[in-house]
Amino acid sequence: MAKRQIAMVLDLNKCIGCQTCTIACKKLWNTDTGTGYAYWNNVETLPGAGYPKEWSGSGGRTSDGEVKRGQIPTLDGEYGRAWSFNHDKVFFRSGDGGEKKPWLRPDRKAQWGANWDEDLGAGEYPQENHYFYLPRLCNHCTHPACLDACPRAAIEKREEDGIVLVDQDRCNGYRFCVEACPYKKVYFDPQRQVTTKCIFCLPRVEEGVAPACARQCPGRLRFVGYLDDEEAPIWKLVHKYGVALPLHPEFGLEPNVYYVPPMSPEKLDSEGRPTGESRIPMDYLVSLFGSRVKDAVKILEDEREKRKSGNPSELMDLLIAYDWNESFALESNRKEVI
Amino acid sequence: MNDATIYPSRRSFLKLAGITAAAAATSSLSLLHFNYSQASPEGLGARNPNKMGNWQDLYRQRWSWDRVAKGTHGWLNCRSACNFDLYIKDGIIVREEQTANYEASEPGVPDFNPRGCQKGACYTEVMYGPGRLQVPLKRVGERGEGKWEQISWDQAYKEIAEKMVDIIVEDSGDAIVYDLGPHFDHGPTSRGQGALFRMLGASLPDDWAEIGDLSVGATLSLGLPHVGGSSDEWFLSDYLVVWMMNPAVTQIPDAHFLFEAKYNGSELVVIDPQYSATAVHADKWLPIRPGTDAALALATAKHIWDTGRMNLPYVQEHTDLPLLVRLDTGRYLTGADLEDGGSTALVHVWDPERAEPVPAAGSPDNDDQPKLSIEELAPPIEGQFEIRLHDGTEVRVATVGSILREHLDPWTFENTAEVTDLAVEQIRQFAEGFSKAERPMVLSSWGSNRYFHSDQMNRAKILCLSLKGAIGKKGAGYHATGWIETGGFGGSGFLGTLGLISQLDMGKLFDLAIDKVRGRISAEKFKWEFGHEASKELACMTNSASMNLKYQGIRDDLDKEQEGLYPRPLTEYDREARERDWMPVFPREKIRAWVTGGNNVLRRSNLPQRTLEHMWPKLDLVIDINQKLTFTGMHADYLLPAAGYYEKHGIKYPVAYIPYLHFCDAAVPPIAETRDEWRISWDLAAEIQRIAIERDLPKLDGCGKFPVDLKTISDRYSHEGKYGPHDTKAVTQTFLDNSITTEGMTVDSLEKTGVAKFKAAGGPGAHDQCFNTDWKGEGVLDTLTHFTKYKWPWLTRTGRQQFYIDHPWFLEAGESLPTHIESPKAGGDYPFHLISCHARWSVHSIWRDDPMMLRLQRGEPALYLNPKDAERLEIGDGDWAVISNRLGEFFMRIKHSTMVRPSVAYYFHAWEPHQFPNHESYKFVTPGLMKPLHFAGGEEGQIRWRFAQWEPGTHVQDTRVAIRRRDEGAQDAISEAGEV
Repeated sequence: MAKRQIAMVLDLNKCIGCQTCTIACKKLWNTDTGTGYAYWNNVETLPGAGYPKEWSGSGGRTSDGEVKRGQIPTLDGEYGRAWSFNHDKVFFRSGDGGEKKPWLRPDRKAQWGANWDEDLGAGEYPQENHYFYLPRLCNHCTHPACLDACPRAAIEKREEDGIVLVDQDRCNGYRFCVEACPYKKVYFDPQRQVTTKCIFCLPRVEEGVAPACARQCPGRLRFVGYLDDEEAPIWKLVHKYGVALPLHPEFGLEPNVYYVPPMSPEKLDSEGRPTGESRIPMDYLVSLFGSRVKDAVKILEDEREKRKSGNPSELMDLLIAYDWNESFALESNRKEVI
Repeated sequence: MNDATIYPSRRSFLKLAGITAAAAATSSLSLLHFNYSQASPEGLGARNPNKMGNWQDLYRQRWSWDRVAKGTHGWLNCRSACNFDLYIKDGIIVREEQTANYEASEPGVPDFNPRGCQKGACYTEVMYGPGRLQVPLKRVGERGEGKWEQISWDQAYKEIAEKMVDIIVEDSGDAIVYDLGPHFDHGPTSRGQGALFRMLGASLPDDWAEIGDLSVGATLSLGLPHVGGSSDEWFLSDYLVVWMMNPAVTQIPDAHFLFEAKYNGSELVVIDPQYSATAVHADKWLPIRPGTDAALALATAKHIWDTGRMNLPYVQEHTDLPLLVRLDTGRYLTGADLEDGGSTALVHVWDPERAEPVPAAGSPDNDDQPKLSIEELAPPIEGQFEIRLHDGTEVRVATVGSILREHLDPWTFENTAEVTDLAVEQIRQFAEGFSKAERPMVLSSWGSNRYFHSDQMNRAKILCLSLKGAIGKKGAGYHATGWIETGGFGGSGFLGTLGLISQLDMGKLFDLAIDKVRGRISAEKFKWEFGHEASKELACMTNSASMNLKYQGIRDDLDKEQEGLYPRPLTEYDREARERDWMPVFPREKIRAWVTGGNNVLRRSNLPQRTLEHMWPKLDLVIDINQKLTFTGMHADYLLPAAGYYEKHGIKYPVAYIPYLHFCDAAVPPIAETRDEWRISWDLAAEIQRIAIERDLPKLDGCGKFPVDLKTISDRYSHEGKYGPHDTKAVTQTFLDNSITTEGMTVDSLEKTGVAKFKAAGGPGAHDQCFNTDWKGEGVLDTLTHFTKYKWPWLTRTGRQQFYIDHPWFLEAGESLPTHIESPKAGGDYPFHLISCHARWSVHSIWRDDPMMLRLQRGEPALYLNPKDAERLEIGDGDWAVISNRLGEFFMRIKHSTMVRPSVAYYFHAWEPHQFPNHESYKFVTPGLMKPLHFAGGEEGQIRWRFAQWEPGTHVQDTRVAIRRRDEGAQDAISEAGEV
């Protein structure tokens, strides 16, 4: 067990699916050959198949805590390769009898990708069609399946902050971790023949700088800090108010990334009249966040009602994040590297 | 494991470790005055961890840099502005990250941090990407054939300058069109190009309305199209209505204020046929039938009235509801009706005590009461009266209020439900919420202007707000993107420091000055009119729509499309407007040269095949000065590679959403052979001057307004040698020095901070719309207090917020009042409504071909259909479809989405035609209707041509198409052709 656990809370009521987090992460960590398809952070439209396609639940732990074997998603199937494009052929035509008007397009038939089912959603328009955005990253689980699955003992959970890391020297590319992670947040780099995953922006966190996905989020929906810091938003959202919940608690890994569940506009009846019921079915939210989500949504709604009638609400203040800087409660602890 | 091959940066780092210490010392900048409480990476100074203790250091090295510069995306038509740190390693900008050094405007309001979006966070992908233009190119094949030869800059300058001089000598300056286009900044880039082509006497088309961005409805109602304060003002509203806008997609850095307002207790309503990314977070989503928004607004206005929730004193003081209209003519009752030789501008209200019409407070020519007031008389808004005119005629007059009240009667919830396809209960709840709100606010974007009858929709929405007294009230009102002017920049275009003085006809401005001195108009109004005169007299401004209508082929299509919609054919309105000199139209003769500064006309035009067929073959010269290869560039003769956003000095155009000046540093030199536009224009001016002296050319004609002296053009461009080709920093400083909004700002300090809060809301610029002279950089920027607090008249024909338009064309067309009119079926009567949305994944076409962005889409353009429709048409997700109407057909892949309303097909715009088979996009079936009434002029007030204020444009949202699956064989063929 780590001495302290770093954690992140994502407020899904503020996520707009812009994927600035995805790009922030991608540009910083995954631009090399072999990592083209790797998105340590991605954003999915739910309901949807996500990335990798139908990732949910393959692997994880049994109720006894044993690590389960799972599936390894394939590059051309569940991930989809990072396509290249034919800019040169479109812009600079030699007249050598090639295609007369080549149009700009991927180098292969595009069949799946990191955001393939963007804005697809579910339900009949206009009564109950719905969707929302779910940003995902490694959960830096308290009981990481990847760690136990690795025969090389190449995966560690750091004592000082609970960040889960794949040792790039020890890793031999067996991919047991890819199989075991039920969130499918470990990526195999075919170029280097090792696996990589979100490092919770380790070098930044060491300097007291929030991870790129969080610090660059224009939706201001991410909070970062230590779970035991009772002064900071994380503890309040997770423990004090209980409105931030882990994704798929039933996988048994105790994720340290938490989500404030999404509210949604009212459903309409068959005549188009508002029903007072949320568009996103509660059963669906329960399938993602467990049964505690019902209480969480209720608390959010109650606190908002308070605010509507002019009363103070610490919870609403926290989620508004008046001072953005206060969303991040980290301390610099490695000054010597500068 | 070989680290060096995995992390190529390591080797270069080791090599450089010794020499970066000095850089570290100088780039550790003090940002104390921004009072960081949270560490930012930039605050760390240079960062080059020099240890390689274990594998984790590989990651630490990846997050390292030699120095950090500030930048934003300056020469980009994005309404957001976001401060970025540019991380530079080995002379390359390796990544960018938001600086996030904004402050909260006032206590109790969330701050702006961190701003940014996924595009801004990877502009480096475009900058170093495969679409980047790097060397000057000259066409060797046919236009559009894609065959080029590389030439030197000297050759390019020489050939281009000679051709342009020939054209001006043979014809005149206006035979050259410089496409100002939607991409521009407020720095040396725009000024350099603008100044050069203005001095050449080139035609400068105003594209604002042509691209469908102009809120004509707001101009008609308020006299101002660009209305709105800072985006944190959204947070203050208690009833937020996002009405024809999608901030979660198009205003990414600001969208959070909406959802934070919701947590703060505001109600958030989204009215959109699409279950948009903004709608998913709303309290209420109204899935309205496309194009029926005016109907919903009229029902809401009626409800506000019926329930007695109107703000009567405000309505009496600020709106035209108490004004009297003659029922025999439909015209306002004016001084000329009541007195021989009286003023035709002076409008009247009813005085119940005297039982006669009296001049309205704030009316033009009301010298006794130049300001709005109800202190002496609170005029009735309803009533019909019999009066005698000065010639003895007896006529009935009625208040606008009475006429409007009767006009609203049919808009019961039931009737409105029929029209809008909303349930009665949903309409009722909305109208109740709106009418009870203290601070209702409507967000109505530029995108709200793309229906043929968008003006009506926005007039009706503004009516609802006016009845509530919400316009010009903090935390309420109409948000359609306001502007903060940088006067130093604006002034330099016509008058100021960059060699452009001497040509303004001061006589024309004398009368105005007298009015100002007499206290009849405000200082702001004076500056406003002054700017207008300058743009009219000192440049060959033209409206794009009229320019395009000069071509028979383009004209014929539109006349046919719009047959029967108005009493007369479109071209008749156009002709009348020209004959009466209502609309400036240049060139007077033919267009011979088309020069664009990166504004992609063939991508953005409607029916570009007509432009290519009718206009393009007649052009002797087509030049694209651009950082990227675009569809327009593909059809150019010369491609001049421009510096990118991080390679030149600039000032981002300043919209009110974020009231900070955003500075662009020249963080790295222009890559490859690219050059910044200030310099390109400088060099061209020098070459033109050289040729003119060599040929001993006399003064030539521009567009009949002023002489064009090519022998001194370079001297004037450079301000008699004061500004050289590399002096962009000095030019930028000059703009800052000459703007009241940027007082005291220096480039030196902006290089360190990237942003600085504006010191005031506006100067005399052409689209300064804030009209809040009290705002001095403190607090949330609310707007229009010039009118509501200081009671100066609104900038309309009546001096009031105006809902009754008595222009003869409007009366003839039956559009004098806000009205719902069905969207005409452009392109023919086909089952699908083709609707254009702004894209999440690109700012216009700039990121459209960027692989990093394309990989987060589907790599190709996609047309969004409701899954039910797709199933009925047997079009699978990702299948090719044929989309057609009477104008043609094109191919596009289908994407299924439940956000889509059945019978609607959405595309997220700005795909380049060369991203489609046959290089034909949705634009090839989109006629782009032009509303004839917008050619009107001849009236004082709002209905007269002004740059970016009043002019005809095009409207794409009325297009109808048929959609069918592409047959099996073709699906395969087209896919196989895709193997490249």
